[in-house]
Amino acid sequence: MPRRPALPRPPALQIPVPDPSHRELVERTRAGDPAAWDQLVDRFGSLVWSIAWREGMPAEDREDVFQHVFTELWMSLRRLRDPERLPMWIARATRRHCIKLARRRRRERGEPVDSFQEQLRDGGPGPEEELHSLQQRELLERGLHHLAREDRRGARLLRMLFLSDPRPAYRDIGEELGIPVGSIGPTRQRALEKLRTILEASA
Amino acid sequence: MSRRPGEHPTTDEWIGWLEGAGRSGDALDRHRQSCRACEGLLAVLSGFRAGGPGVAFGAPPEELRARARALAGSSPQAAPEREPLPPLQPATADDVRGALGDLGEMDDLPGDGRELLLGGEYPGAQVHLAARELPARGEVVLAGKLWLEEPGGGKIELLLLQEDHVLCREELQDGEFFLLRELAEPGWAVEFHLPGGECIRFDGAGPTP
Repeated sequence: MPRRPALPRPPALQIPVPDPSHRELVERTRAGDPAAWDQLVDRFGSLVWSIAWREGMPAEDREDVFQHVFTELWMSLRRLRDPERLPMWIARATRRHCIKLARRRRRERGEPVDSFQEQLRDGGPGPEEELHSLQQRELLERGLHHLAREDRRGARLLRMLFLSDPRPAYRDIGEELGIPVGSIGPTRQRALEKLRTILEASA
Repeated sequence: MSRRPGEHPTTDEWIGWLEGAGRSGDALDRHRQSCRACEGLLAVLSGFRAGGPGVAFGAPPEELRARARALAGSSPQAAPEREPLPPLQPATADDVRGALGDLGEMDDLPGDGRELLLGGEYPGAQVHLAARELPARGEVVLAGKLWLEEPGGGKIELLLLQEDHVLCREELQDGEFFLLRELAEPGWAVEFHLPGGECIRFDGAGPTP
């Protein structure tokens, strides 16, 4: 039986090189510049928040995780050997705090810890993969935010079509946006094209 | 599907291609390799698929961010709380299986994964270290002892690391038995920082006896 050709690897959005670099922000923070620390919190806050959300943490626990991760980062700044790997450091630290807190909650409720651990990890992406997909999603969010300034309806349509779960029916989308169902395809096409241009310019 | 020269595939065709209908070398794959616009569109569609539907990349509440920012304001000198790590001196791990008779406490630990017996004589100290990986739980268990060349020469710092990430930190006394159990993925490492500034490092991916 002939082998089926391999699935091609889809292209990914190009993550812009951060400016200032992670290394520069870490070094400035180490030198006592609080503005650099603010930038680190702003740069990675959404990553921490989103990972905790994806791990299924309730809102209150997400806040705990957030606080723990940034406290740990603050305490570890001098120890970082490769600040350019900071996104991975953040992703790993967040995941660990989520697992630890989830285990503690299970213990408090008298539930077995292992089963939840399996649930949390089995079949889930590894930290590298998770970080990559979240970075892609973050970039997309920024692009959609930008798009909404010039094409609010287009940005809303893309959110409804690609980010809503479950995806609404075309008829409901048409009603919501006030456009005929037959216009959804062309509106989507134009919005995607604008989004592509925005993201390419940002890269 | 036949296509006129210069005609691009439709968005629906690309979505279908991304959802698994695509094959390396097929017509769409060939097209995207030579069409920057379609490659860009595919990247956007891939971005939407990253993480699955319903996953929002949300911003944390401002109040929470403000609290994290305030860490810097609390004490400008707080960040340099610890000294920077010295340059790494990877240790060659000698098998010290025979010496591990001292570590009877390890017998009670769960052991569904790999076991490493590491240690030996190093500048400044002698180390006995046993590690068990518990893959089902994503944990590693470490136990052992460290004896300084100069007894009573100060505190020893033990770090369990994952790349740059300090997963766990313990302060030890000379000859004190330690037992740690921490979440750690493959690729962890252990470092002992001695009072004299030396660093002894063991990589979890090291040799298995």
